Amino acid sequence: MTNTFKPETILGYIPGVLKALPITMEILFLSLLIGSILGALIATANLSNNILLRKMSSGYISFMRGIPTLVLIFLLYLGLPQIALNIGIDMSNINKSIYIIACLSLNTSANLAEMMRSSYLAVGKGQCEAAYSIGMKSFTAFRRIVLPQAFGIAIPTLGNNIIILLKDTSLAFAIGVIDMMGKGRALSAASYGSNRLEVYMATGIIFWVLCIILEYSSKSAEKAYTKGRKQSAS
Amino acid sequence: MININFILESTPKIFEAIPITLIMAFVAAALGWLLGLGIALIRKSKVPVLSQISAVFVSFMRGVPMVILLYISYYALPIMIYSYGLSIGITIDVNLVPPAIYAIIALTLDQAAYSSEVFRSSLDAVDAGQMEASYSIGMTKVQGLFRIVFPQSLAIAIPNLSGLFLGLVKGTSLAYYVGVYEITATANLLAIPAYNFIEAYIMTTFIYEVISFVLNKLFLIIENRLKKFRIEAVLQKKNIFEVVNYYGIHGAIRKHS
Amino acid sequence: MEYMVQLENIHKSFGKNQILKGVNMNIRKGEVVVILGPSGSGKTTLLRTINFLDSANEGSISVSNFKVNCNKHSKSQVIELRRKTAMVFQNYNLFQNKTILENVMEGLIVVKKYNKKEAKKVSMEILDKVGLLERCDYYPSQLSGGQQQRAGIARALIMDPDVILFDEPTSALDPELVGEVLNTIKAVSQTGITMIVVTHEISFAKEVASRVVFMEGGNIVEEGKPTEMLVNPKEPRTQQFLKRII
Repeated sequence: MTNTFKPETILGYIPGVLKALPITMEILFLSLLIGSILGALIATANLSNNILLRKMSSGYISFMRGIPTLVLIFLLYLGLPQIALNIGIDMSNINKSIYIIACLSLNTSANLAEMMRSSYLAVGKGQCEAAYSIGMKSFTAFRRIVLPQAFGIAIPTLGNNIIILLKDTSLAFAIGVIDMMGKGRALSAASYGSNRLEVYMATGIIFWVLCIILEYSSKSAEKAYTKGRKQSAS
Repeated sequence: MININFILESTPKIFEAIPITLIMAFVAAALGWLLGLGIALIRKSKVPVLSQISAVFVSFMRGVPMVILLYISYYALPIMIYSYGLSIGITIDVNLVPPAIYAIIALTLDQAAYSSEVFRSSLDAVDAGQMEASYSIGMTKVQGLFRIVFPQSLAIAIPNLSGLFLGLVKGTSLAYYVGVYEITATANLLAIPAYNFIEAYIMTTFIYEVISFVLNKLFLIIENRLKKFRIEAVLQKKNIFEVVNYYGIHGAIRKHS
Repeated sequence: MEYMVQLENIHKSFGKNQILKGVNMNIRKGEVVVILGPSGSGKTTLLRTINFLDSANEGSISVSNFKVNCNKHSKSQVIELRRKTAMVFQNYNLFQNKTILENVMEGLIVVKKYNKKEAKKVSMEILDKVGLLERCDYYPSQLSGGQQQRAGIARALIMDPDVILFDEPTSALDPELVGEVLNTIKAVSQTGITMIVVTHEISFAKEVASRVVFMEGGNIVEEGKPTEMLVNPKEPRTQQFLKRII
């Protein structure tokens, strides 16, 4: 075994990997969008008075918490078409990215639902009661009083969830989507693996930088949003 | 449409892979959390140089996806081990190192980074007066930390550590990519010959769900033991608000003031 | 003349903010010194420097002939000094992870190296004195503020310190609970132990203090017997303060 590691070449691989950035971003944004909508529905169900809805949403959240993202991807991508075929549906034409977006949406929806629920609860009953006391209807009170405060509370968690989601997009390569990670693997395969360490480090650095940007944005957003208001303490 | 025979035949084989998954998780948590506590103390006491290095390390581990960390560990460590062997004059056959070691190292570092954040906020959540009271009756810093501050901060940290641990168990599924035959890899291997993916992955999902469920209950029991001294009123007074996630699980504590 | 506590030229600042500007004080054994003063006058900081919870920038502190130089001290000196003093905190600061009995026993076991049985016996006696015997297995969070503060006093008392420092021991309490704590402190004062009490309770000072010290702006403005100081203060600043507070 010889040491073929050439650290000076790492940065040179960054542009190549970055070519797949749009794919990664597309997966990220679509998953976040769909996940937020799903998450809002689940959070609403979880906060409702209906016992059945509450149980179902808690069950969904705890199921998603228990399953590794990779297993969910395999289950949907490899398993689902097998079942679908049995009932006469051919899923082989569906784009691989769709599977990834579906998996990540499902996964992140549980996290986002939890985030929405705890932020909502953190605002405190008193705020709602005060809104009712001046004659607001419950939806108006939610929209004008509770939601803006809950959003401020949720920003840091939202930032964290987006970072987790971004990192999870790297699993898209598992079913052959050419996201940044997939691109990295392709680059390393092209040289028969001789530069794989350098390529993975380059990919890692890109993710790191993206993560730092997201973290910084989340902090500035929190600062800008909560400026002049006192953050509500649970 | 679901092959029952396959399930019956392969279940014992997948079960055999549960120990390696759990061993990776337990070892990585034990080592990682110890390291994490060290990092938290270093950053809290603002040790020059070390605390800056720790901050960069934590940021890096938070930013880089687990798969990439696993690959880096898998490809970089053998080179390091080999070169180290040469430098002390022996030739080490790095192929003898089981791949689980590389996975455990990557997972350990990941846990160290995340748990250091958990420990940092849980140490902050213990009132400064507790340490002062320890001093006031003549305790040393070490006595105060170990007898008073750590037990309290551990009780605060447990829900988050529980989240970290469940995330870790799920994270071990990625060790598949560095050639560890844990649950996911074993299921995949069994499914490939006859395309029994749906059966294999339903079973895998079931196993992970059961493991998560049991661990969750276990952590709840530990939590209730540790926090017997904290009644509800105290919890509220401390303004602890858990929200952050990790691998899709409840994570670090945030303090709102 | 032998003094129990001697403070010499204590200076303390936080950043640019000078809190103590050269405080001198000599306290005899058995004296109960009550420190009065508006908030921000440095009285709590003074108390905390005696226990080295805040270390002063300049000056020296000596307790029963053990002298520590504030700008040049070793860790072991600080520990030694702390073992001669005990503190009762405004927010009680009971160890949250320990029961009331364990709170009181902690110092005996860890610092004084008692065995458990002995420590328990002595602790129960003290808890009986402060009226908390039935509550000894409760956690602090299960008790009222007054009960917690009495436990705090027991925890300080059991270390058999040369001087007990009380930092506004009743300020965090609901008004109806102040009495029980003041009565406990009064009982402690009758045992002849040296005490320094920072408080806003003027009537308590009148009853219990052997000397009253008035501080403002980081300096001692006036001191004297409570009967003189509180009735006929000489300094205009003291007069103003007392007029506002009574």
